[in-house]
Amino acid sequence: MWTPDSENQVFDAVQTAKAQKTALTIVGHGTKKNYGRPSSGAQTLDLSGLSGIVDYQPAELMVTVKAGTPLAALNLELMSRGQHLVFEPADWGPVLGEEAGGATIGGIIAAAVSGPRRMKAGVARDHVLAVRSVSGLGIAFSCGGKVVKNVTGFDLPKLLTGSMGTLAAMTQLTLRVGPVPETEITVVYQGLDSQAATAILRDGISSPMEVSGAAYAPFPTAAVYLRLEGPVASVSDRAQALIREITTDAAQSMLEGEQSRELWRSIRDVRCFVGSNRPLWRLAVPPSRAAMMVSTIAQNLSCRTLYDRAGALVWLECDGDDPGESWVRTAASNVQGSATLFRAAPDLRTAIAPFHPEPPALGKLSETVKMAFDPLGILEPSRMVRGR
Amino acid sequence: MVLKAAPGARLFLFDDNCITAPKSVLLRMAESLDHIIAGLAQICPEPGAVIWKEEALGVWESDAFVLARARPLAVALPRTTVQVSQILAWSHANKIPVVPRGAGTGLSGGALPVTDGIVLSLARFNRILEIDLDNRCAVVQPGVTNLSISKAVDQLGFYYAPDPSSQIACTIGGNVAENAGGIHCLKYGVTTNNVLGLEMVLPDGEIIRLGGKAGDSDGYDLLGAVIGSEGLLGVVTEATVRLLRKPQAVRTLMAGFASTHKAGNAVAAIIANGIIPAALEMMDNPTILAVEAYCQPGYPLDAQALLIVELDGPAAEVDAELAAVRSHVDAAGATSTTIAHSEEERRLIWLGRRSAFPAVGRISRDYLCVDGTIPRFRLPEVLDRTAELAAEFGLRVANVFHAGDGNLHPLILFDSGIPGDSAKAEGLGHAILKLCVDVGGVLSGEHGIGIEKKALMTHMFSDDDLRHHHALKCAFDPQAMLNPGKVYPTLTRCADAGWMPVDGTGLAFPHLPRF
Repeated sequence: MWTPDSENQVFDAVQTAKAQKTALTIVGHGTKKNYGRPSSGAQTLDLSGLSGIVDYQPAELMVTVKAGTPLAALNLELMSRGQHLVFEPADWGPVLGEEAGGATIGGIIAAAVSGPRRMKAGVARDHVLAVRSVSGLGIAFSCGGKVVKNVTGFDLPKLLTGSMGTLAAMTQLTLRVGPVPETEITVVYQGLDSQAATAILRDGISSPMEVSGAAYAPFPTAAVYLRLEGPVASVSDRAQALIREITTDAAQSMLEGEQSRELWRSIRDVRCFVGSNRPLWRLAVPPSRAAMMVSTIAQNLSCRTLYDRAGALVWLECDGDDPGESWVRTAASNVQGSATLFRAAPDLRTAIAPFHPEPPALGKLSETVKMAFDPLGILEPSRMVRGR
Repeated sequence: MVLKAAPGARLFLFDDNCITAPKSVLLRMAESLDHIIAGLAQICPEPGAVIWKEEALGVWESDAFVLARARPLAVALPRTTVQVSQILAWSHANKIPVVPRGAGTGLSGGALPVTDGIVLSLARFNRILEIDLDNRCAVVQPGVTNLSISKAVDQLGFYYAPDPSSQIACTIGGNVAENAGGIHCLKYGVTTNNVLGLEMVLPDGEIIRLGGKAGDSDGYDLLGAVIGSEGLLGVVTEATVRLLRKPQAVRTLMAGFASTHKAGNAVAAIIANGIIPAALEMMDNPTILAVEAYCQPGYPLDAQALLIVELDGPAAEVDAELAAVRSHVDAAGATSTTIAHSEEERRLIWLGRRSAFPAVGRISRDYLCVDGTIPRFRLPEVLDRTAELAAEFGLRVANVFHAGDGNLHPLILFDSGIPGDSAKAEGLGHAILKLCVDVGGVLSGEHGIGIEKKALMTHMFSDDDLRHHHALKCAFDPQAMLNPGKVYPTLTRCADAGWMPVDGTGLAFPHLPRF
C-alpha cells in the first residue's frame, strides 16, 4: 500500500511498480471501486494524501487542486466565492453502494463523472484544462495549460479524463469553474408517456430559454422536468415563456429555489436507484431515439428507467438479477448508442464487459494508446477492458 | 504567428522555413513520381482528382502561413471515405508522407506540404449530409465551410457556435485539426466543445468512428485527443457538430478607457461578478486609429483601449446583464460608453473589430499576427512588457485580443522591404510568445503550432512532457507518415523513443505488432 503525500512519492511508487512489474490499483477514497471491471492491482496507490487547493483565483474562473482533494471540500471553497464546477459532477457513492459525499476530485475526473447540465455546459472533459500526472512509463509530466483557450500540442487532458487510471496516476488538476446561478426554477409536466415526454424534452432543450436540465422520470409518477437557471427576474420570465412555447395537455407546475436544486441533485445522483443491488445500466443515446430504445429493451427485460440530459442519458435498472446484456447492448447499438453496465456484482462485471465493446479497429487503437502510456501494464490493468 | 502581406506588398520567403528535400531524395522521387501518380489515379480516376503538373502545383505550396512554401509531388482530391482510406493505405505501404489539407486558411503552416510527399485535399468533401434538429446536430463532410453550416440552419433558428474570423472560407475539417475558436467562444466553447463525433481514417487506412450523436461514449476520449491534433493523427472524413438555438436577444456595448490597465480591470470585474458575455474583445489605441481610418465604425479616437462586450440569451436576462456590465465599465473609469440600439449600430461596432487585421495592413507594409493565451490577470504586465520588447526590437505593435479568455493577437508591424526587418519581426514574435509562456500561458490559443511555433514547444514543455505527446503520435502513426515535421520539434522513431520494451520480457501486449 502506497500512501504518498507528494507527487515525488507517487513517482517513487510508479517507479517501484515498474521495476518490480507489479500492477497498481489507484484510489482516492474508493467510492468508485464498484464501477468498471474489478481492479486487479497487486498493490494499492492511495492518492487521498494529495489533498488541498493549490491555486484558486475566482476572477480567472479556474482552480488548481491536488487529485486527492475531497470533492465536498472543493465545492465548499468554490461556493464561498459564489462559484462551482459547472459540469455538476454527480455523487455516485450511494448508487454504487458507498457512502455519500466521499468522492475525490481525481476520482471524478478519472471516471469522467458529470451531471445534468451537459447540454448547456458540457461534461467533465470540457472543464479539465491541465493535468499533472505520472504515466505508466514511470515519468511525471504536465499536459494542457492553465488558460481556457489552448491549441498547443495534443489535448492530453481529455485523453486522461475518463481513462480510469489506466494511462497515468493524476496528481494535480486545473479545472474551469463558473458562477453559481442566482436562482433556478423547474417546470414540471406530469402524467406523460415516454413518447410525449421525449417531445417535451426536445422542445424544451431546443427553445431559446436556455434550459439547463431536461429529465424524464417515468416513476413513481411520470414527470418531465425542465430547469432554468439565472438571475431571479430572468428565470421567472423564461419559465413563463417556456410554458407558453410548449404545447401539451399535461398538468404543469413549478419548483423553485432549494426545492428545484434538491430535485436536480437527486436526478444527478440517480437516487431513484439507490438502495438496491440490481443491475443498473447507463445508456448514451441520440436523444430522439431514447424512448424507442427503451421500449425495445422493455419487451424482453423487465426494467425501470430515468432519462437525463434530454434523453441522451438513460439509466435503466433491471427488475431481476439478470442484466439482460444482449438485449440492452443490441438495442443501444441499433440506435448508435452505447450501454455501460454501471452497477452489478463483481462476478458479473468480470464476465460481462462493463464498458460498451468497441468495434475491432477502435479497440486495437485504444489498446495501442494504453501500450504507449503504460507498456508494462502496471496502471490498473484490465480495469476498463479485459487484457488491456 | 503569421505574416500577412499588405495589399500589393511583396511576399518573401525565409529559407530556413522552407522544407526542402536533399538531392538524393529528389532523385529517388523523380524515378518514383510516375509510380505515385499512377497509384493515386488508380484510386481516384475522376477527372482532375490527381494534380501533379508543375504549373498546377503552385497554389498548393502553402496555406495562409505564407512565410514557408514547399511543392508537393502531387495533390489528391478524393471524393469518398473509401478513396481516402485507399490513399492512406497505399501511401502507408509505399512510405509516402501525406499532408492533409482543408481550405488552406491555417495561420501556422499546419498544411504546409512536404517535398517528398503528397497533399490530401478534402475540398471535394463539401456536402452537408444531414440536419438533425431532433438531436440538435448536423452531419457534415470535412470540406464544408464553417459559415455554411450556420447558414444552412439559420432559417430554422439554429447556428453552429465556433466562429473563427476566416469562417467564410475555412472548413470544418481544418477547424477540427486546429481546434478553431473565434470571437464567441468565451460562452460557447471552441471546436472541441462543439463536435460530437467524427469519422476518421487512420494513417494505415483503417476507418474508425469516434463519438456520435449520442454524445458520451465509453472508452478513451480519442475524440478529444484528435481534435486540435493538427492533422498528425488521422484524416477526418465526416463530422457531427452540435447545433445551438439562436439566442433570443443580443446586446452590444463598447467602452473607451484611458489605459489598457483600466480596460483590463473592467474585464476582470465583469467576469468576477458572474457574467459570462458571448464576446469580450479589446483593442489598443494604434488599432483603434487604424480601424477608424479604415472603415469609420465610430470608435473613440482618444481612447487608449476599447472594450467590446456582447451579451446574448433570453431578453430579460441580457438586459439585466447589460445594466450590470455598464456599471462595471463605469466603475472601472470608462471615458465613453456606447450601447448599440439597432442592428446597424451593432454591425458597425463589429465591422471595426472584424476589420482590425486588414486595417492594420493599411498602415504597415507587412504585419505578423501573433497568437498566444495568458491568464487574464497578467494582461497589464504582458502589454507593458510587449511594448518594451517592441521598443527593444525597434518595431511597432498593435494589439487586438479576445480579452475574455486571455487570447492575445499582437500584430507586429514591419516592412519586408527593409533588410533585416522580417527577421526582427519574427524574433519579436517569438519573444512575445515566450513571454506568454513565462507568465503561465500557452503558445497558441486558436491558430495552432504548425511549423511556425514548433521550435518554441520546448520552451513550454519539458522533454518528459513531450514524450507523452510522442507516445500518442506513435499509437496512431508509428511510421510518422502523416503531416510530418509539424507541431513537434523532433519526432524520433517510435521504437527509438524507449517506452516500448524491446527485450521481449514483461510485455503486456505480446500479440500486438512492434514497430
